[in-house]
Amino acid sequence: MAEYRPPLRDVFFVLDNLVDLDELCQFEAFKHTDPDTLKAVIEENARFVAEVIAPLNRVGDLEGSVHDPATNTVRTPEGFKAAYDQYVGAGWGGVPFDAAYGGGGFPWLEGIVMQEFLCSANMSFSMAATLIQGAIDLLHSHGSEEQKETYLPKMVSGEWGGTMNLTEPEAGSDVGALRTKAVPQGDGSYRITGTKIFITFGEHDLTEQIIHLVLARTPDAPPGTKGISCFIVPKYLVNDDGSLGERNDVQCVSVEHKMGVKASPTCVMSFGEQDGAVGYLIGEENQGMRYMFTMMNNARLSVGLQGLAIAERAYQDAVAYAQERQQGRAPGAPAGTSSPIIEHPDVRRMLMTQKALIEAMRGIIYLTAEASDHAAHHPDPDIRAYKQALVDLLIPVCKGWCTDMGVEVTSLAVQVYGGMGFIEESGVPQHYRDARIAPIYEGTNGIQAMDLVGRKLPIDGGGVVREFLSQIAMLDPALLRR
Amino acid sequence: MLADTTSWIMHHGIEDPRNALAGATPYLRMFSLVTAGWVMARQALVAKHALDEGTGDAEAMHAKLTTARFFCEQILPQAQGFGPAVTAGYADVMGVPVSQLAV
Repeated sequence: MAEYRPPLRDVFFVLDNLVDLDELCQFEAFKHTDPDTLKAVIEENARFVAEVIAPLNRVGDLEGSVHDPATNTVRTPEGFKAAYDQYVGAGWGGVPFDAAYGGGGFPWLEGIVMQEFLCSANMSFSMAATLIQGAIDLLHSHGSEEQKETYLPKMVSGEWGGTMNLTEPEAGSDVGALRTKAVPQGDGSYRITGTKIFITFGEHDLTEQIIHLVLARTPDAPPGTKGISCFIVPKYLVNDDGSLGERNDVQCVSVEHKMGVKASPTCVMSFGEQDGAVGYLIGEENQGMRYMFTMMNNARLSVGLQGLAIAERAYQDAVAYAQERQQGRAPGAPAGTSSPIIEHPDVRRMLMTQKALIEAMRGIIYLTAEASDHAAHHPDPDIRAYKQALVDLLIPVCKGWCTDMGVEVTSLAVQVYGGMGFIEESGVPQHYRDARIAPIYEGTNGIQAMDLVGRKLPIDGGGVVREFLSQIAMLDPALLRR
Repeated sequence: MLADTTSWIMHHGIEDPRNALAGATPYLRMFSLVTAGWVMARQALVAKHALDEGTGDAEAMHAKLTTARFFCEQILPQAQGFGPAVTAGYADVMGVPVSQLAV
């Protein structure tokens, strides 16, 4: 297993040539920065992640996060808490968020590049730091001013954790089947009761506070997705002065034993075992699904990015091993010698396949992140609308294809290692096991495919996909000229 | 090819949603490969331009060009192979009864 090296040469190739940082930095929102600063921040982040976060990947897999049934607490692996404190202390979590709540106000693309490094370094760790983004997005778009002031600054900084509580035992891909109840108390608050499963970092020891966003039904809610509301359920109630108050009635009652991402605790959460967990409504009742959709693109982009990131890490290991390992004589090598396996054409084909897929994934994901910055900040409303439609169209590609390729590329790394690739001590099986979750969560890849065909192709009567395909076709003459 | 398959799945998916649902995954793979091909073609143009102009690190640009060509000539052609799986519709996907799937 090689040390992780952030692939700055390849990242900067995309930033310098396939996206347009100069244009981004002309937007009002990003005038405070410039391409050189964006790249300098990326280099600094790369150094931090490689030194502090990457070395914890293996220990995370070996120890995992462990639930204590006596106290319903969760202990993260050795070193995670100290690394998380450094991550928060350096301000890395807030880089792409609204400066009004303590963020850096940088482009989403900048956050995506840093997220690639973090996830390559340590996929489990990265989930603590990045899953909170969905909760921040949702609160930022739909929370009241008071809610935003109470919760956002410490979520943006990473001092507080955040979770999304959707799935229930009988409500997985079919979110509309969920049964968790929310009963209004007459004082503006609600009492929440129910069980949620598969809650990533639902409980842990990295932060003093965790803000759970919970989907539930009010007593007279209509059935299905039209009757879902979204609530803030803090682990500790927050006092008027911002300090932490009473422990809320929410517990992690167990942690799953998983195939991969073992350091990321996947929790069964029980709300309201005593007298109901205190929850605060976000926006209006029965609008929860609509609010979820506002964060869904970013959440799916982040998971697609995991496919790229874990592929990159596995590829680096494979390239290093293929240079060390000597077997057989490659064509042209002196008789009686054995060659590093990287000189064998079939091994080289595997490495080239990995490299080509990784570069394609990185291009697609960075271009989609750039398009989402345009959709949010371009001065021309028509361009904003077109870019938003383009993001919508490409999200199933980012999520569905890049996570499938993450599995493919990590599997190729196992193959390059040969017999050692099947042995846990080599470190390579972890990448393959870690990669395998990404095609499943955040909308299975089957759902991504149906989303593309059923929801995305019909946008604007097929106009957006036609425009996109004609843009692709326009490259043909340029390629022929070359 | 992708444009034809796209219009097939849009039209036949409206006729009977089972056509769209049965072909969605091979369609996503095909659409993604073409999108990836587009990105790699842009990469090739940038790298070729840099090599022609003598700008940038020549060895790195040559690697970018070669990797893009490898993708477009050796991986991208798989996209065509997914076409028949999309335009076959749902008949064979759903045609073997559950009793024959179960052992």
